[in-house]
Order: sequence, then structure tokens, then C-alpha cells
Amino acid sequence: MKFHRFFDSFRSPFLRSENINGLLFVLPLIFGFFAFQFYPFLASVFLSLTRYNLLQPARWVGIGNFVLLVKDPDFYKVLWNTVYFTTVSIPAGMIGGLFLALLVNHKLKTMTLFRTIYFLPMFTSWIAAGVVWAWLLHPSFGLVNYILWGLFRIEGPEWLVDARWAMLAIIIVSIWKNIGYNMLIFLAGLQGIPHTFYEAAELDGAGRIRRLWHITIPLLSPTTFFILIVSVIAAFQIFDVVYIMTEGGPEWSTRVIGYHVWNTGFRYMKMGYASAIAWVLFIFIFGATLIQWRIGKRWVHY
Amino acid sequence: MALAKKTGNKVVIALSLLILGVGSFIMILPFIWMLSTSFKIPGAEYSFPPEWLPIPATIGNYIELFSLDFLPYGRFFLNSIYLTAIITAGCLFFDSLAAFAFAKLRFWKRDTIFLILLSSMMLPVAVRIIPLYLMMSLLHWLDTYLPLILPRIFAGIWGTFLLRQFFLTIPDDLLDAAKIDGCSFFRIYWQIMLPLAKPALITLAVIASLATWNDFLQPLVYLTSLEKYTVQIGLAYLVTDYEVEWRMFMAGSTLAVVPILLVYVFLQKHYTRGIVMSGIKG
Repeated sequence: MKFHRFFDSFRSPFLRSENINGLLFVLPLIFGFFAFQFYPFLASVFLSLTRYNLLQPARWVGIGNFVLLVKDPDFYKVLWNTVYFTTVSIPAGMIGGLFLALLVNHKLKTMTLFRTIYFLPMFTSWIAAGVVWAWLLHPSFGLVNYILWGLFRIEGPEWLVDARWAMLAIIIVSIWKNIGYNMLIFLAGLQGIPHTFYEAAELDGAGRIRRLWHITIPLLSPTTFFILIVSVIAAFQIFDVVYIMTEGGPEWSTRVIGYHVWNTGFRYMKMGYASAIAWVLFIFIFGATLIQWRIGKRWVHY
Repeated sequence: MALAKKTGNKVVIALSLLILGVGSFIMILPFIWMLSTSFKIPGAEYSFPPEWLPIPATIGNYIELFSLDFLPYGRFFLNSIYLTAIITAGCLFFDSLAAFAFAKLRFWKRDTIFLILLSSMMLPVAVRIIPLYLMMSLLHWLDTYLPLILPRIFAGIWGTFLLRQFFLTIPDDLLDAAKIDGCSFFRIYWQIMLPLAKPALITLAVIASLATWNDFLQPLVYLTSLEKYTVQIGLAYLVTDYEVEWRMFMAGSTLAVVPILLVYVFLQKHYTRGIVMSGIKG
């Protein structure tokens, strides 16, 4: 393409200035920021203070939506579900990811194959993953319950149909989906630890467990911290897999805040109320991230 | 001592392989079961004990899936390919142009602008999606691809972040020499920077295309007519709105997943490098 000729033809010093060119090159992104990020952000604040159902004009209700939310016992259930999902799936996924990273961190041909296998769920959409897992967890024809019975003589639960087990099913799927990401980032962290530390520890007679506990884990703390931050932000927003596997049910047992926003806004057309819920979500994410930075200062060693 | 250490290492490696083997079986079990069910004949998916292999095998489920009269399943693939191609191309161009400017050119409030743009990554989709929906509705863009394409192309700050990291590693001497020769900045970008950035561009293309292909919430919100559906919402629609057999769902999932897996296993290196460089969660 001789695209650039057009730009070369400009002779005016104004059009050739670095300042003007630089601003011109980032202009599309600035436009996108204002149109698709900043404007919706402001509009969302405004919407959360109104009642709006698309049919009648928006009506100003002040903090009315938030008052309703605070009084709504169902909303506490949704919050609890979200926190439960986050606090179970993240530690499990991170410990699993670290464990796998330690195991595959050898220079062996087979390890590349294993890595690829653990990455596969990362490439799979949440929707397809959810459909397949719903079939695996089918109470009567599912492979999971069959294996549980065959290997351990355990009578498997009814998973997605049972309010006590549905969330655990969602957690299992999300660990399966995310463990490859955790492994990958931990692996990058492991490879950044200088060998000299291990050599010195070995000379001092430190065994595997002690090296792991006193060298690897402390030196990995920035990586651990990073995964934790990113995972919490993602976990609070979980939506696709809930939509496809349970639609928030049974009995609201898997209704998480991301799903609640969508359902309130796009099924019941309560745009104002849904915006208020979205803001609670944002405040949660923001607060959780802030708290982690504070606490992180104490346990992260750079 | 040395011998003990060596055998110790061997034991550890053998043990690692064993655990990894069992673990990877669990990881690929859903894929195996999906494939196997999708080739089963009617009724065979409910047999007890479950059969691991689809014997006799049939491709009838796939044929039936494509001939459903209420669901143009083949069409969804064309739609997804079209969207993915446009969005990936747009991201590559606009992100690399901006990344080049942020990394190499000196202009008014450059670093402040970059930080402000970057801060938008913190904003959850849930907060933006309702006002965006209302905005698209005012513009009469609902049920078109514009609400899917434009925000992705123009507000893709993480792609800019990724490429900027790369451009920062290119020495300034090259740029200065070109400037002295009277090259326009666009030409420096187009003829010098882009060819050098090829590996980073591939990485961005790989990540952006996968994110677009697997996107669910946005198409779900903006698209209403069936013939505009993408693969993901088409599959979700099939599963949630129709009482079809599980072997059909598995055929649908296989089609949505396996082509992507085949391509991405080969592009894995680019993908993982991009993830490690930017920390983006897929």
C-alpha cells in the first residue's frame, strides 16, 4: 500500500510537527474513550438516580434505588453468592495453578504437551464450556456422577438442579477454565527467580519443601498479588457461565451480581435500578482492589 | 550424596508426570465427552453405563444441526468470522498507531493522556453496558454490528498498552535517522515501525480475535434478529430456548470450540506471550 505517500506530501511545518502528529495518532482512542467509556460512566451515575423502563421518560428518584437495594433481602443473597463464589474459586484456582506451575517447570518435552492441555480451556468460550459441563454434571446421565460412583461409590448430587450444589458446579467450571491462566502467570514468575538463590539454599542443606516455603513462595509474592487482583476483578463480574448453566437458579442460589444487573436491566427493563446495582458492583471491585493494595504492602516482597 | 540427589530428582519428576497426567485427563475430559456425544446415534447418549466411544458413529447430529429451520447455524459462523476479522483488523491499526505515538513521539500531555485512557480498564462492563445500550438505541444502531465493532476498535486500550511495551524496546536512533531524512511520522510508523513490530502485532491479533470470537454479553445485548447472531449467542439460544437433544448441543459446542482449539494450539506461543506481557485475563 502506498498509503504513506499521502502523508509525505504534506509540506507545511504545522502538519509535520511531532506534537500535531502525535495527537492525531491517538485521537481515535481519545474519541473512543469519551464516547464508549467516559460518557457511559457519567450516564450510569445519572441513570442510577432515576427510574427508567424505556417506555416512560426517566423519573428522578435521587438515592431511592439505593435505598430500595439496602432494604431488599434478595440483594443480600446476590451479594453473598458473589462473595462466596469469589472466596472459594480464587484460592482454589490459585493454589492449583501454582501447584501445576511447579510441576511443569522442568525442561522436558512432555511438559510442553501438558502445558498445552492445561491451556485448552482458556481458548474455549464460557458458553461452550458451560454447555458441556452441564452435560457432564447431568444428574442421571452425566459422566461425573458415573465416575464418582464407579471409583468411590459416592452417590453424586444433582448438581445444577440442587440449590445446595449448583454454585459448587459453577465454581468447578470456573476453576477448570482459569487454572491454565494462573499456571501461565505463575510459570512466568517462577522463571524470573534467579537460580543462585536455590544454589545457595542447597549448599546450606535446605530441602525441597524448605526451598519452596522460604524462597519460591516469598519471591513469587508479586506474581501472586497480581493474579489475586486480576482474579477478584474478573470473579465479581462472572456472567456468561451462570447465564448458560443455571440462569441464576435454582432458588437464586447462583444469582451473582453480574447476572443480576443483566436480568434487572434487560429482562425487566429496570434501567435505573440495574445501574444502581452495577454501581454497587463497581464499588465492591474498587474497594476490594484498594484493600488488597493496602494489605499487599505487608506480604508482597519486591 | 550426588547419587541420592539424582534418584531423588527422578522420583520427583516421575511423580510430577503422574500427577500432571491425571490432571490433564480431567482437563480434557469435557472435550472428549463433547466430541464423543456429538457423534452418537439417537438414544445412545442416554445409555447406562455411559459409552466412551460413539459406536456406531454418525455425523447425523451435525447435519441435523445445520438443517434446523428455526436456527441458521451455518450463518452464525459467517457472522462471527466477519465480526472477528473486522474488529481484529481495526484493533491492529488503531492500537498500533496510538501505541507508536505513546511510545515514540513527544506531544502535549502524552503521559497524562495515556494514564487516563489506561484507567478506563478498571471500569466493569456492567456499569457501561446499560448507558451504552441506551446510546446505541438513540443512534438506531441496535441490531447492527456497529455497537460491537466501534467500542472494541476505538476503546481497545489494552492492545495499545501491549504494543506500546513493544515499541518502547525499539531504539530511538532509528527514528531519529528517519526524521533527518525527512520522513513523515506516518511513514515512519507504516514503513519502519510496523514491520519491526510484526511479532507483537501477531500477538495482539491472536488475543483480540479470540476475545471477539468468545464474546457473549455484548452480542447478547445488542443483537435481536437471528440471522445476525454470532456463534456464542446462537449456541446459547439453541440450548436455553429449545428442547433439543444433548447430542445436538454437543455437536453445536464442538463446532464452536474445536476449530478454535486447532488454530490456537499452533498460535499458543503468541497467545501466552501476550498474556504474560499484558496480564490480560482471557
